[in-house]
Amino acid sequence: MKKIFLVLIAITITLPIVFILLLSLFSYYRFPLLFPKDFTTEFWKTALLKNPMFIPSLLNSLILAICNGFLSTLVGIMTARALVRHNFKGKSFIKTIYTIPLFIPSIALFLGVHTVMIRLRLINSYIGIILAHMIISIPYAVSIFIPFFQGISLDIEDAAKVLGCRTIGLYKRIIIPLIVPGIFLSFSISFLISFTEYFSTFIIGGGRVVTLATLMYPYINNFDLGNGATLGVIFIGTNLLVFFIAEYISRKKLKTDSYLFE
Amino acid sequence: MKIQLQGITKAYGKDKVLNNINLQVKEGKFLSILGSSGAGKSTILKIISGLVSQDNGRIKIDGLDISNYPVEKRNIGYIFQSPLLFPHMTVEENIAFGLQVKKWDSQSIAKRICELVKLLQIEGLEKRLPSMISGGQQQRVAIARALAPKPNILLMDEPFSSLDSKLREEMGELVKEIQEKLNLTIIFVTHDKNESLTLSHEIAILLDGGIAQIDTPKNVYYKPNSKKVAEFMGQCSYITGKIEGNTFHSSIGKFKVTGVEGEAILFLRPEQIKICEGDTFKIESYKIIGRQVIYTIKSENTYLLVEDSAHDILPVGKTIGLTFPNKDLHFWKRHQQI
Repeated sequence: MKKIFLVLIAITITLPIVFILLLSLFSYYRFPLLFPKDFTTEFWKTALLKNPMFIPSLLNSLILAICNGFLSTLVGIMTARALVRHNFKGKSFIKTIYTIPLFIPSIALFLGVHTVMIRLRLINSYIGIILAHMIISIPYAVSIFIPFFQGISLDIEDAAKVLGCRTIGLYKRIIIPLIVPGIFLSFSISFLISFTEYFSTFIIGGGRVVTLATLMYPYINNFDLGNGATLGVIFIGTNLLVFFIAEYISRKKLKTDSYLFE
Repeated sequence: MKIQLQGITKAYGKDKVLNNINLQVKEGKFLSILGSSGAGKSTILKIISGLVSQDNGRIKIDGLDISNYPVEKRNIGYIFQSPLLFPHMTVEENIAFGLQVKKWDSQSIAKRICELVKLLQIEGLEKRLPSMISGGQQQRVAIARALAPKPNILLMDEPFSSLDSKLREEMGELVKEIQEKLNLTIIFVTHDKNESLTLSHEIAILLDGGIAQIDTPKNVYYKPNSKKVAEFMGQCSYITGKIEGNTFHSSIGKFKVTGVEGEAILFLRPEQIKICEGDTFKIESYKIIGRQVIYTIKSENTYLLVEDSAHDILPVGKTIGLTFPNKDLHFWKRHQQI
C-alpha cells in the first residue's frame, strides 16, 4: 500500500517533466496522440544557438539567484540569531510580521514594492530585483535558521568563551559549523525562489533585465510550446543541478546529517 | 593567595542574589560552595569566569586584579552541569579547542592531548564524536578540555549532577586524585552535602546571598557558627544550660568543659549520642532513613535526636540510657544564637 502510494506520487511529480521533455524534442504532439511524432532538434538549436537572449538571460538568472541565495541566507542568519538570542524593542512585533510577505498576493505585494522602488530609483536594476526577491525569500531563510539557533544552547557558547574564544572565533568554530545544513538549505531555497520568480522580476526589471523565467513566459503564453518546453527543460535542469550540488557538498562536509537534532 | 573575592555583590533587577561575598582560596586547595538551589552559587562562578559581571567588588588571581578582564582573557577552567561538548568535534578536537584558540603549535597540542587522555582515563575515545560516548565519558572529556590550556583555577558547577550516584562517587574520586596530582585550585559548587564533605579542603556555606561560614568540612559540620548553618548541614539537637566552673550543667546531665562562664547551648549531631542500657530517657518517635534510624527522645523540655543503625529498631515508649561525647564539644553562647 505504502509502495503504491509512493509510486503514484513519483509519477505525479515526474510525468509533467517527461511531457515537457517530449514537447521539446518533437514538433507535433496534440491531443489524440499517445506518442508524439516528427522528432526534431530544431527547438534545442534555436534555444541554445540562435536565440541571442538565451545566454544573457541564463546568466542574469544565475547572478540574481546566487546573489539572492547568498544575501537572504546572510540576513536570515542574522535575523534568526537576533530573534532567538537577543532582546530588543519590537521583537515580538517582528516575530509576528516577518512572514507577512508570504501572505500577500504577489501582485498586490509587488505593485506596492514597485511604487517604492520608483521613488528610490531602483527600478530596472539588478539591486532592485534582488531586493524584491529577498522580500519573499527572507521569511523562509529566517524560519529555517530559528530552530538551528534554538538548538545551540547559550551554555555551549559560554563554554567556548571560557576557553578563550572571542566572537569571531565563536562563529567560525562553533556556530557556523553547527548551522551548515541550514545554510545549504536556505541557499538552495532562496536560489530557487529567485530563479523561478517571474512576476517581480518582470515588473521591477521593467522588461530590461531578462531572466530565463521572463524569457520563457511569452513563448508559453503564445502557445509556442516547443521553444517554451526547451527552455523549461533547461530551467528544471539548472534547479536540479543546484539542489544536487548543495546536497553533495553538505553530505561531504558533514559527518552526520545534523548535530543539533539528534 | 591564589584567588580572592572582595565584596562581590550582584543583583538581577531588584532581586539581590549576592551580597558582599568575600572568599579566598589558597593554591592547591579544594573549596566547595554549598548552598540550596537558587542561592546564587553558580552566579559566583560566572562572576569569577567573567560570564556575568558583578555590580561591585573585585576579583584577584595571584594578586592580579582581573575584575574587568573579558571572559576569554581570564584563563579559567569551567566545568558546567552538563558536559557541553561541541557536538561537531571529536573528543580530540574538543580537548584541543582551547589550545588552538590560544595558538599552541600542533606538536604541543598533540602532546597535551596525550597527557590529558591518560590522566582522565579516556584512551581510545579520541576519534569519537560526543554523541558516541556515555555521559560519564563526556564529563571526563569536558574536564580534559577545561584542563588543557593549564588554567589558573578550575571552577566546577555541580559537574556530576547529571550522573547516577555510583558514577558520581567515581568521578568525585577521580577529580580529587587529579586535584592532588596537579596541585589544582578548585572551586566546586554543589548542593550535595556529602559530596562537599568528602571532596573539599574547605566548605563555604552560602545562605541568603552571603557566606554564612567558611571552614573545614569537619568544623562546618560539627562546629557550625549559627543555627542556620547547623540546620542546613543536617539534623541536630540543642541543649540549653549553664557553664559554671568548667562544668556545663543542663537538664540531661553535666559535661566537663573548658569555656567561658555563662548561659550556653550545647550542639550535638544525632550520631554523636549513643544508646545504652538505662532508664533515664524515653523514645518518643522514630524515623527510618535508609540504613539509619533517628529516634526523637524527650527529656523534660529538651528534644534529642539520636542516630542508630536501622538493623534493630527500638519500640516507641521504651526507656533507654544515653552516652554523650566527653571531649571537643561545641557550645554557643546564649546571646550568640541567631
